[in-house]
Amino acid sequence: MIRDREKNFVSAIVYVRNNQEQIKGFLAKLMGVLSENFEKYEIICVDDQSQDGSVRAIKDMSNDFDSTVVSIISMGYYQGRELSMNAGVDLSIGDFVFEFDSVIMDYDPSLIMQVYRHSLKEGFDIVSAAPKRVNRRSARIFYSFFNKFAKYHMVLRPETFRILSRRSINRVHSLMVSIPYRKAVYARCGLRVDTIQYMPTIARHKVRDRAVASYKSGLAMDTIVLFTDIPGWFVNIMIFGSLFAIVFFACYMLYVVYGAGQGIRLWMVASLIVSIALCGLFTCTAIIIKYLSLIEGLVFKRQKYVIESIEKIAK
Amino acid sequence: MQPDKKIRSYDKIVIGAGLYGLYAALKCGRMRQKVLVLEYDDGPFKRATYINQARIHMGYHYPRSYATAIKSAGYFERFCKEFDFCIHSGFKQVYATATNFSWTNAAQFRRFCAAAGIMCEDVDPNRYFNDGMCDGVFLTQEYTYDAIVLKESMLEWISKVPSVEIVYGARIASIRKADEHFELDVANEGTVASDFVLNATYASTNQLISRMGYEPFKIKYELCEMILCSAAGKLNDVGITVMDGPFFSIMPFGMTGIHSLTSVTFTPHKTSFETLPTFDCQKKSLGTCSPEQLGNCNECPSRPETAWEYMSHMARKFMKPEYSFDYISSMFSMKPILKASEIDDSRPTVIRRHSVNPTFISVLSGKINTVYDLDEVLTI
Repeated sequence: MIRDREKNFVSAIVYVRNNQEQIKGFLAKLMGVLSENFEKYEIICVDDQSQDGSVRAIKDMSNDFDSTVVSIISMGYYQGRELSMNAGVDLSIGDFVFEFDSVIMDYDPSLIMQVYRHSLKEGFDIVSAAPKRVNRRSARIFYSFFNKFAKYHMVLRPETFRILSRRSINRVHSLMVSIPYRKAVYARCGLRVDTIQYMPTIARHKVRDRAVASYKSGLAMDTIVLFTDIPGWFVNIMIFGSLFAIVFFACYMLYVVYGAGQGIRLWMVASLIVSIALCGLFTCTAIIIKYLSLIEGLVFKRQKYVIESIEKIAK
Repeated sequence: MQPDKKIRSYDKIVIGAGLYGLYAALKCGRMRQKVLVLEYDDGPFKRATYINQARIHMGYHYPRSYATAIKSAGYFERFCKEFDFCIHSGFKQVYATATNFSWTNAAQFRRFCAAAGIMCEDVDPNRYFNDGMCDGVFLTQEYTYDAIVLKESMLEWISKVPSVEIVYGARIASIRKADEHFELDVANEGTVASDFVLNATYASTNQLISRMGYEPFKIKYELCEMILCSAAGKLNDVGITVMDGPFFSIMPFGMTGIHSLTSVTFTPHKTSFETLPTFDCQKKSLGTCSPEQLGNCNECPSRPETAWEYMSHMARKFMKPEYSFDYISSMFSMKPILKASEIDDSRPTVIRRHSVNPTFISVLSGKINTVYDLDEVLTI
């Protein structure tokens, strides 16, 4: 039976980091869905310095790549999911672009087309697929914290993959030179976005990867600084607190000198107050330095990311 | 071979009737040498000489290889003067460096052009390209040649030189070294001999070298597709090349009035890393192609499906919509690529003397205007 396949050209970006066990199964299922539904598509695997045989595993499948083009971007060193996926999106040529943040498919493959159709039929420029249940405690803490304090009333949740229209990619790139955290940038791009939630079919087991763990905590900090109001509030509270402490100290001094006229224990209290004020100033300075370093990263870096090679996998 | 048939001998035997082969034949013929050209196809210029972007290289393509660039620029003028009748120069040739993934950025390209002494004028990127796609856009001086017009003239010139003979559809049954000369048994032609054989077969070069037992070139093979498109609108008198990375080029194709489109990623369909070109499509070629003898990819029954969707999407992602183009047809050819040249992306002309007295020379070059590299080996 010949089905009417979509005329739209789609690109699928797949983030790969030490996934030699899962990558083959994932690509097979992905290609199954895309071949059935699209006349032409491309797959771009972004390898973020895998230490195992992930790249080998992809190349082993080259005989199955008959109806499509599969490319591998090798990142120059470990740069984390955000920059790697940005590189993939920059290379893609599709009218619609799927971003697969993980190769662990804890959903039915039909969800891929459900997300695509939701975008096309309902007119959402970005549609994400998000698991209903989140097992990782650190993730739960981060998201609840983030959503409470986020600017622009953003609500984020852990997502496994999403689809972007070319229009939304152009919009996002005209908003920002580089994209530190895609989800937050997509959420505030001003176009219509939506999320489809699903019940995970399998439990994700935790993989220990020190580079990834430190990357994630760094990313969480950066995200909070850039996209929530917390640092701003904190700076305000500390600055006004310190001011208040200093004014209070001055008044107290006046009282001591002209009022009571006695000593030693008072000085101890005074030093305590001064220390608190200074402590607040130092914290503010630290936050300002963090801001500056982020701005430095966003504005002055010539290259958004560093890649080693781009390779089309030949049959 | 019939024993009574006489061996015909020539001053030079040239194998392959592409530009390099015919250039050599003409040059030697004009020096009153007796030359035989053996061509496998039923006509000249049926493969790489015709099926490529028809670019007369000025060196812009090689910003990481000054040597290649300067050499191209040097030959550019000479070629344009000698072959001016087949050259189309009345269009704007635009080179651009992409914002992402380019191995060369705008400042580096400017510096490179200044060093190589070739024209490079800054143009506003937003004139041709979508916002943010390219960080540098340059108006350059580069032309395109028309292979068909060139072919007609070459044949006319050769027809005036009676000592040059061309055999089309030539099947070389065997080739061997005999004392001071080489003997070739050619089906329907008998045995021919010469003390000078020039292998100008491009993609088949290793196939011939292997038959002689000489050391083959270290090359890989790419089965390439070039697309012909109509570009009636604003693109009509513009050629655009986004260079040095996984990008594309769309530019006028000789004097035909149509454009050629290629892309670094999607033009090569299949790759072979073997010494001899080995591809799975050869099994479906109905016996016309094998690792020992390449058929003509453009006429092959197992030509690949076109990558038009991929190439056009890439070009449209970069170019503004008013620079529109439409599909006409696809052409396929086999390209040998020297393995050593991947890092600096250079495209040297390699001339190898496998044997001296008798002389057997192979020439391998990917550019049309470096044909003059042949001069040094022909005049000896």
